[in-house]
Amino acid sequence: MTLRLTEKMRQVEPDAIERELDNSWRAENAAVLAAGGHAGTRSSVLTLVAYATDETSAARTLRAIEALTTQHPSRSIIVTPINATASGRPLEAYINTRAMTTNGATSYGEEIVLCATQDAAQHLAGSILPLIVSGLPSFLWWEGVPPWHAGNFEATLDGFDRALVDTAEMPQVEHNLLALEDLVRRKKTSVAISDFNFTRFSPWRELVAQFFDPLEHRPYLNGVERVTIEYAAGEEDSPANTAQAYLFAGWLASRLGWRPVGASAERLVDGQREHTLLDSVGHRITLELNARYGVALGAWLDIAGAGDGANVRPLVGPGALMSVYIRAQANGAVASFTAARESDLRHASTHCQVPQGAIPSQTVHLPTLGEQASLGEELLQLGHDTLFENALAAIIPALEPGLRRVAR
Amino acid sequence: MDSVALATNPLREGLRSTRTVQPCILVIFGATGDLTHRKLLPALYNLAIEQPLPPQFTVVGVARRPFTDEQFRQQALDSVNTFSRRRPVNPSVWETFSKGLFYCQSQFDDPAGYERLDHLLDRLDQERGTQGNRIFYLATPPSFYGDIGALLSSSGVAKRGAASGVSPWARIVVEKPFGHDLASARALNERLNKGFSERQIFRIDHYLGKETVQNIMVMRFGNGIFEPIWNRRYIDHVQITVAESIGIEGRADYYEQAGAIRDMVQNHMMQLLTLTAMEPPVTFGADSVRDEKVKVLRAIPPLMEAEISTDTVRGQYGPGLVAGEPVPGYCEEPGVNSHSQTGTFVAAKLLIENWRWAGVPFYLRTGKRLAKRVTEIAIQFKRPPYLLFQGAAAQQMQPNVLSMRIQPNEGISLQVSAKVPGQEMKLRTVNMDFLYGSSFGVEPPEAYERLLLDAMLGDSTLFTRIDETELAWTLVDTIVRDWQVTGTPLSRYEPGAWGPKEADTLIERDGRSWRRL
Repeated sequence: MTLRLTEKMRQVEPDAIERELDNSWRAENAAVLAAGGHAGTRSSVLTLVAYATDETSAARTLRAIEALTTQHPSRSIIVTPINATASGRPLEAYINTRAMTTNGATSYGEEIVLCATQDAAQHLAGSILPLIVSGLPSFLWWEGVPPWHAGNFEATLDGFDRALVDTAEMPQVEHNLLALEDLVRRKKTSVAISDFNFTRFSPWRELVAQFFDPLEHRPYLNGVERVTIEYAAGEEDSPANTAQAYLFAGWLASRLGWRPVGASAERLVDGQREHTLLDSVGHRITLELNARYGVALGAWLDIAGAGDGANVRPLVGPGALMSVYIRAQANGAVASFTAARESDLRHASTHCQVPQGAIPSQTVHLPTLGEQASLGEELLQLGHDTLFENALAAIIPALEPGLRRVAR
Repeated sequence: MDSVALATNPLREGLRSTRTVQPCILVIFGATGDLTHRKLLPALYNLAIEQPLPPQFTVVGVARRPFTDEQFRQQALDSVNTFSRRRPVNPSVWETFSKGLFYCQSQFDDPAGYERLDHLLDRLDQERGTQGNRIFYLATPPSFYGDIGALLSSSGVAKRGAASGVSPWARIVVEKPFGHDLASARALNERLNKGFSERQIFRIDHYLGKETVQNIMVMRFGNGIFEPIWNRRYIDHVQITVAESIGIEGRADYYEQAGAIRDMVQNHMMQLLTLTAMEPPVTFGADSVRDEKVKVLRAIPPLMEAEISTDTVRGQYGPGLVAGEPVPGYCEEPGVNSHSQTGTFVAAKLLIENWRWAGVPFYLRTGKRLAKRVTEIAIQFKRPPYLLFQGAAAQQMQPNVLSMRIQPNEGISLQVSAKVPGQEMKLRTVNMDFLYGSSFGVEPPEAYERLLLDAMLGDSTLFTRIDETELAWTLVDTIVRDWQVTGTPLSRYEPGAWGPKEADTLIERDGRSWRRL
């Protein structure tokens, strides 16, 4: 079986991957030396294993990883399930070595593609764990919905330092957030699990945190009355992804000590939800989540990284935050804080209405954290992302039991 | 969490920028000059686009040219579009950033100008919410530093604020050179002290803003394998090279006064030396780090007359060809006295008399029009105590050298001996290169971005303290005075080479040689 994504790769025996990679590097060094060059020492900082659900997404994943080689020289392993291999064996392996020179510095990467039949794909631990580079951090990126409770999946997971999932690409968001939180909790002592979708809105966390940097604004954090979060949705009749909005609300709740009043959605119509939370002294906070329909969405995997080439379209993926509005009261005075994406989707403007005096509005560049940039950010972290874990745990009580969808 | 802790912003925890800049006005004296154009304005824009600046952040340019606010903004736009690493400018970000740029025309020694500046700053505090916080950045020729510092104080523009984060605060950032000798440095400091305490004075040595210079500390104190061998027992000597391939690039006025020893040795090279030689600080706080650097400077014994003649070399480049093109000698450079005795090259051997470094020489060399642009610290280790491999096998054996390259191709290289594959026992030296660019493809921030941000945050770790500055001047003054008294001649050197042959003699006398870079 020859996949498009392996066209430029060399097929090797699955049990000879290490030896063949070594041969590739020897050949490459010999060529450099023969040309009078200097064979450099390779730096490698991690192993990344990506599980892609099909060939198309495997090819996109490979592109994102290739672009990251200069930033994180690594061994990358992409696993994709296929119906049958050409050889009839359960597993086929392809390898490639890459040297990329940017600004005079050469980075090295190793890419391995494993095509596994459905059966073999369910028993990945024995195929991929031996390929992890010893002593370096190891990451597992699982595309789509993981088989949450499958023993084989968990055996694989336990061989990694960190695992990354993406709730933006998952259907039935609330159900999968619950499963994710359960997994995070169960694996707390072995694997650090995080969500690309949480990393993607890190610029929004910076924007909102900035409102409360001035000392005189801090009292408003004790008197928040309403939070309205708007998120990007496609056509009106298509299901919207609420993961970013919920995780953002969870982040606020975990940082500020709020807790949802059960699964307290009072108005449940398509694209609009309202929850009640209580702060540490029992004040009520209304959390409103609104879908903004008609935003041109693309798969996050297709979205460019922070570089934001001028002609890159689309700019946001499902459920991307569009605006955050916070109304708060302190000492009898009311203030509001708004961060809203501009119509070009590349910038956000902040507005702050406080009785203490004028704060200039600010327009800031909003880096579009597509898969490549999000992955780059995630690979910089080695331990648990406690902000994410706490945010997820804080919002879960608002989702269960059984959120209803009520037609308008 | 039971209650929201108001002393800190709970939403900041765990975010990329945990250090936040308070609303403030940055006043740049010399706002139409080269430093502002090439470095400061692009660095500020880069900070704006990467978001650590608050919306209230305001810049006021002060200079002699009759600019309007709009003209200053246009100049800033040109600066960003030409020199920013984030160019071309992002129109939306520029729109709000440029609204915070203002201009005040004034001579630097005109009290009336400071009055106008004071009114403007007060007005901007009201309009933009900058809370009276000020940073004064002196990007003028050094001859104005004293006047500006004194007038900021006497005019009341620098209302005595706190150095810490308690509003309103005031700080002053002073570019190098801080004086041209010990006496002038002290005099300048005295004038600045009329309006600013030591904690409010931020003396810039932009080398300290370089990521690779900061990495010297990380490499030494963040890795367990280096520190145990970082001493006289294992290290034979240290070489520090700051070589430039260019000439003086039209800076004759400054360079004629400074020469290589004041331009490079007193500041950049002393920083590299102290970071290499210092003891582990108790914390990474500003005073802890600087205390340790000062201890190193104190441990360098003053050079005696006889030592200066043998352990220092001064040189000047003559005319010649570089890459096939004729280049003028130093004395033929525009604006330079044709009989100038200014040195464009310095080599020196220094000792550090403490338990760690006793008997380990530090060789320093710096110069203009040398073979290539390179800044490097090389730690040469002692040979193994017993040479197991003899004869032909050992011919190629070199001692281990750990070199830390600051620029270009930042990284670390370790020279080790290895066996050449084959039947015979032949040894060769191989390099284990670690390039930062190969392991972290992320573009590091410019030195000025880091330093400007630190000054706004009130973190003076990467700025030089007055005792550090004075000790470095003491060392340099001793050498310069001796050169003048004894009439130490300048050794000529070929442009594009590695300096005068006397520099080779200096190190070869000890049975060592300069590294070929």
